[in-house]
Amino acid sequence: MIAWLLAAAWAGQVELVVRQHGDAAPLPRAEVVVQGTPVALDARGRATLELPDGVEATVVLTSLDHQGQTLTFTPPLDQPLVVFLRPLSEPGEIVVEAFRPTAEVTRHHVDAEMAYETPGTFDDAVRLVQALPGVNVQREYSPSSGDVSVRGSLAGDSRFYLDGIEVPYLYHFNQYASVFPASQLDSLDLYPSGYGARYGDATGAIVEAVSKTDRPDDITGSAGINLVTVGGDLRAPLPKGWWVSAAFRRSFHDIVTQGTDQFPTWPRFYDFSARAEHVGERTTVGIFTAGSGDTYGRVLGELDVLDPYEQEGVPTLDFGRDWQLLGVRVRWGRGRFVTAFLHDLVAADVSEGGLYRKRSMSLPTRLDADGTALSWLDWAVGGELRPEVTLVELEDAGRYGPLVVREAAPLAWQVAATDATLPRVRFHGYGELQAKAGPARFFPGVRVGMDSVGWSPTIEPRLAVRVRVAEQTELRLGGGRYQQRPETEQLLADPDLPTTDAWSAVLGIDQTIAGRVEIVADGYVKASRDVVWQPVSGRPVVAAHGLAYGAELTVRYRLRDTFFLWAWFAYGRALLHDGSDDGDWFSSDADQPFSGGVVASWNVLPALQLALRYRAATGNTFTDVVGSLYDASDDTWVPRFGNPNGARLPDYHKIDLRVAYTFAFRRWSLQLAADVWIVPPPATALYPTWSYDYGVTDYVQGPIVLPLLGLRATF
Amino acid sequence: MSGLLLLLVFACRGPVGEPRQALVGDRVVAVTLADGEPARPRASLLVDGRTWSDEPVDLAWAWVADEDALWSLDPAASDATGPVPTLPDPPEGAGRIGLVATFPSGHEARALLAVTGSPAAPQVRRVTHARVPGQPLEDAEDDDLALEVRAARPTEPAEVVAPSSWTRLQARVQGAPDGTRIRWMATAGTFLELDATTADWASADLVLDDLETESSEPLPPGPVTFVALANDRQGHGAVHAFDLFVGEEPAGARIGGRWLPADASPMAPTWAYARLEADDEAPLGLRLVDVQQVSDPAATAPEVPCEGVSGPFDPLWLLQGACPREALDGVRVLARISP
Repeated sequence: MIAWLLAAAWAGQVELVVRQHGDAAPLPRAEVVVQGTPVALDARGRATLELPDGVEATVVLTSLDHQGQTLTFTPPLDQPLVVFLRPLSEPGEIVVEAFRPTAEVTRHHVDAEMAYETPGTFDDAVRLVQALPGVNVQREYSPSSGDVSVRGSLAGDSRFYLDGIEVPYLYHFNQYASVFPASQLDSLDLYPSGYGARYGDATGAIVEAVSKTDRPDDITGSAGINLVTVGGDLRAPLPKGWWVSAAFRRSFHDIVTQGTDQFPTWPRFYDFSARAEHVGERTTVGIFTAGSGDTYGRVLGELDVLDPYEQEGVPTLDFGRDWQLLGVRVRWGRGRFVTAFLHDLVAADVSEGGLYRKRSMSLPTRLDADGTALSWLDWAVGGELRPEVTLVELEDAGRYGPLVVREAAPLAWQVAATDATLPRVRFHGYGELQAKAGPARFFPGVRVGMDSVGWSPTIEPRLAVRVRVAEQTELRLGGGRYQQRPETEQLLADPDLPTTDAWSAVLGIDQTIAGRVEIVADGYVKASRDVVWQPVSGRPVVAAHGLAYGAELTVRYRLRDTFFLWAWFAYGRALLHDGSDDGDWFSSDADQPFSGGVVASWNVLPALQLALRYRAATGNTFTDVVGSLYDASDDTWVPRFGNPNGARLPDYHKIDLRVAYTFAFRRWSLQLAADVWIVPPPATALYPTWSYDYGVTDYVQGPIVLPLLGLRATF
Repeated sequence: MSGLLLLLVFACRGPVGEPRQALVGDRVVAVTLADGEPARPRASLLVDGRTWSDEPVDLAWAWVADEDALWSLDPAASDATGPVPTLPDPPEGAGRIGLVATFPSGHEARALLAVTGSPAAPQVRRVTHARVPGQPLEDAEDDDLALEVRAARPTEPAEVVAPSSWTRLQARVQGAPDGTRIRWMATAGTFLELDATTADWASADLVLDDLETESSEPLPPGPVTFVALANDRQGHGAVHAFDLFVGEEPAGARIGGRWLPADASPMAPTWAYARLEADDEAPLGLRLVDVQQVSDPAATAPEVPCEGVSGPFDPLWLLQGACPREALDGVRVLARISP
């Protein structure tokens, strides 16, 4: 469709503006031919046409990615001639992720299209991480649904970065949505294991989220609402090379619900980000801020199973966590520097007494630079510095402490009540080379670190090798030493907790078929010492040995903006051993032998999208109760736990379906989306629960079918 | 989490197993400590849902330092055995009494009691009961059964507990420090507690959803056994067991709150000699025969064939396992019969 507005005289000049139908994005690369003469558009998709008044003119517009248009009109025009070209739906670009020459031998990439079109992710790119190969499948809305366990690593073993700055946690309430405003993300990469020296202080995976960095040509944005959140974002160019962006999202059930008996303060969360960047000839300098917050108040007991009088005696936990960062980022051709002030506050108050407040202030700083030394040799160096001070206020919660293990672990650990200030400085530096030799590339590197707590040095040699054995085949080998210091919170319980020390190796192969279908196979193994893990009750403990191994097979196919599919199957084990002569290997929290799934999305029509996601996995482990004793002193039952992680939830299956229809108008578009999740019983089991005397075990059940609706306007 | 957040409200968590107020199965209902030294602990036992048993429950007692020590306690290596033990002085560092109870069914239960040395335990002197007229049962809705609404309702004395009615139970507790509360238990019916020592009991099996009646099944006429356990959360407890009769009460007598069927109801209060006879339908497993009221309060109590007990008949002998029912079948006892 075209649109142009005719009216009074324009003195022989016609202002032409070419935009994309649906979001009004400028199309500077569209080709324009006026009366047989090519005319160039500027960066904003505009051109001024010199045309004689009163003479019919013909303009032909073509674009590789859009439907062409031919316009005939008679100047003069009293307003600019604005033309909207519809995007082509097919054929799309074939996207191949394999064969990327980096030291990260396994990499899973997610971009906005995949995030928005995959069912069950609620438009959240980070949620998609949990549908990637090697990542444990978690039950939605279970206490562990936000845990990211990758290739046998425990949930706390991975690091999450937003543009180079590590954020304190990934999901609101460890459940619903990520703390990154999804609309501002350009892409997200998951490095499951065997990554290069660039990343460290982690024995698990690395999740690196990257914000959109391209300067917008015009004001763009979106506003969205679904059953849980409302939010919006905006990006706009400013003069003199500057541009700004901002995004905000908030849950709104608390406004509607006003709390319940079980949740006197209904759970609410928010997140935001904003940035201003100047794009220069050689460098881009920006300031940015981001943050999120979670709040709720819950009764420390299940009111449904308590007598009304008992309910009155149950204390309430008021919990809140929020973090904010403010930083500066500088990027240049082959490097970046980023530093930020990060404030992180955890506050948990038990109404009957008991308090935990942890306020952490840090200055995470990161420098990455690379260059070329010789025609066959590139280099990369960098470092991370994290000075930090943590202020802790702790007041014993007595017998209610173990009930708040997820919100305020030190209360559950019964750490001696104290007010403490814990200063800490962590530093890591790395160097890495990339040497080309025929079809092979070698990535040797080393990472060194120091932690002021315990003055514990770490030295981590790494190596990756990629060999292109055929045009469509590449072999990958990588690994090395991966060390991780305990979290500051864990050091509260035991300042002498050791550094976890792991040796990890990955062997993989990438094979493309006809340059379209990708087949990726990986095998991995990781042997660890001094693994810090959290048993079902009590303080963190150290397992002398850890062992994780497994294999993954992934098939991918993608036509950008048209169709994508990936399917995977993974086998893996994650085991721990206490080191005693008579001890046995036992499952860690991350032990999930089988997992697999399929994700497919198809834009049947330009405006209509259908998508499906299916995930299946062995049920997560849990530690069952094997008995109880009656404590007559206060008329309670005390559980006796069996072997750690000796029981499993039922196997998990989940199907997500999505239908979305986009109404495209000239300057904006409106998308209506309906997601439906289906969880066939007994996979609805979320977590175990017990009778009052722990004599009977049952499971709390989640819904079988749950519809979710969403609405998003983009301009 | 405990399961907790956001859309977890969609999750469904119902009651698991029997409610703790239900007197069913084999259970150590309470462990209490008699006044004075050396330590003389007593266990109140439920055997197959009854407050008596023909076969004794094997009880092994020992001083323990903590829960782990109790878990690893070998009954054969205990400090004392039986229902009426006297423990030696505790060893250094062992401030708790551990109990391993092995029931006739083979079920094993372990219990723990902290010995604090603080003032004496509370005593449940008696439990009164009264009708709660006007309190909806089969069609309760909205806030009919809310705590403050129930607390405002008046009660009236009642000789008979009607099926599908509410009865208010109130325990008179002596020597109870702040924080003492009653844990109510019964062989049938439904409780809604009112305050620390008071509860409303429905003579019906109720299924409530957010205090609104979903279904109601009236109890059949017959006796219901109650146990009121007072606990001050400082290591002290006291147990009071009693019976109420749903419907018209047949001939019988009350001894220490327990109801025993008899050929005829004696005048009360009084002292009486009577012979105990096994009766599986009776709440205490025994009935009274050949009841002979005596006017002399100093009447001599016959000996009973149970170790560690003597004097007038006390139903606690069965609850605490001191006397298996078999041992009392046919035994003549002196008893104080109360109204």
